[in-house]
Amino acid sequence: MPILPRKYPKDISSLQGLETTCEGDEGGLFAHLVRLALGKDADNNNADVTAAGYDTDGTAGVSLGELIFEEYTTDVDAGSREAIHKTKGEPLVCKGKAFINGAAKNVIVFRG
Amino acid sequence: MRSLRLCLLLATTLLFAGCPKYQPSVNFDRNGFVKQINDHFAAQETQYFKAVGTGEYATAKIRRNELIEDALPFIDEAYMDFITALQSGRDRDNFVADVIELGTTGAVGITKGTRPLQILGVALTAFRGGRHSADLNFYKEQTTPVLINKMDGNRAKVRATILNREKEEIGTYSMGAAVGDIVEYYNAGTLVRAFTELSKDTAIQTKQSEDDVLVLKGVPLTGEATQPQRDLRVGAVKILQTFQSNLAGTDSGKKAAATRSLQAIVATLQKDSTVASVLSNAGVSPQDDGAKILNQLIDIRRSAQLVNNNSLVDKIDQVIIAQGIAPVATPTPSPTPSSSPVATPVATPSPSPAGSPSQS
Repeated sequence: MPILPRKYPKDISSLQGLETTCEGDEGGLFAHLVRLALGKDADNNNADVTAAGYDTDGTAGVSLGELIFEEYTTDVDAGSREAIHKTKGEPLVCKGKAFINGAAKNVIVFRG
Repeated sequence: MRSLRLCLLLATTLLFAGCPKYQPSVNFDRNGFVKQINDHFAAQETQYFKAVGTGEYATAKIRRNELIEDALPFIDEAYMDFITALQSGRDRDNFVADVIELGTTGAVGITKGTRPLQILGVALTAFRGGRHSADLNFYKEQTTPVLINKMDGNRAKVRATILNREKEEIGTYSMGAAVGDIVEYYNAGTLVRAFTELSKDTAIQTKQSEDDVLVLKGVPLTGEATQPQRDLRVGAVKILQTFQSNLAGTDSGKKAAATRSLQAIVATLQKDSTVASVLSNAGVSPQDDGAKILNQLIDIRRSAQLVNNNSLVDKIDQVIIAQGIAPVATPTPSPTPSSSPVATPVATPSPSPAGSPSQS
């Protein structure tokens, strides 16, 4: 099964708003988030969007819809966050970029 | 075991202290300092195991954390000296050659037959292949700041792990594990580790740059979800996952119950004309087996979600949640799923503004 693509508007209100949206998509698509990236909307003059990818395989035992979104600054920061969440048993879902309120942000996602 | 762990920590630092060009040299071998540290750690370990033996686990935890926090400043100090030397060029000129020599150092450790050194030898095996001098000169000239940044990052990761694990009880974070983390903290500040981590990063970053900006065509733009909408989707998917697990399991009772619930869901959904036509197109009926209904429901929801048909997904999810909360009783004598009590969703989150679910 290919990765299911989704695109979200550039002006999504907040990181929490993106988290809620992705959690809802995990639930509705019965698939788990695997990718977040900046994207261009070819159907709308290449407008900026946030692109997400969801994998329908390997959902058994996965707590779909239980995501933790955090903004990170550097790779060192991301690594530290990954280490902290690892100790809590919250695995890394993906690391990427997303538009939050019009601005590109580095986002790291864990599964709670 | 206690002395072994202690040896592991000290042997690690001593081994690297003999090769000051590519990692910080912890200065344990001056003016009887080794003995001082050794005695200090031994006393801490003795107190730790004494507390464990008498069941004073809280005290043991404190002793363990004290040992960690006592050890780390020595490593921090050595690291600061090391990177200062590296930046000033004193250690940089020859560290490249030392990377090659490193493998030899590990091999010597193995021949001495001590377990700690064997462990280190295994860890260092990957570097025995060495590198061409041209490549290494590149590193020397261009990447000293990068390497230092990487070492800083590696150390921060391990430090964060240690800080978190210090909160754990001794049952899950033993003295052995703590000593292992101290060694790991030291190793994180070595050029050896910086090289390997940079290599991994390069591979990841290459992939990321390829995926940096995606051009999406034919994918509808999805607006921000509301909390009730999210709760509805997640609540429904958890119930579907439970059905999936029960149908795949070996408990015939659970399988039968899951099938009855799924049949009841379809029967209820058929009362809505819009959903009924979707179910009909998918070839689903209340008489189908559980696995078929489940797979079709997942497909229908997924297809609707992909085109942002929130109204349809809302209707399906509300029935799933209602049925999941009030599972169908074992039918006797003949199954009539359509009569199951699923008309009124209990504790169902309010529908999304976009949706107009009809509860029949």
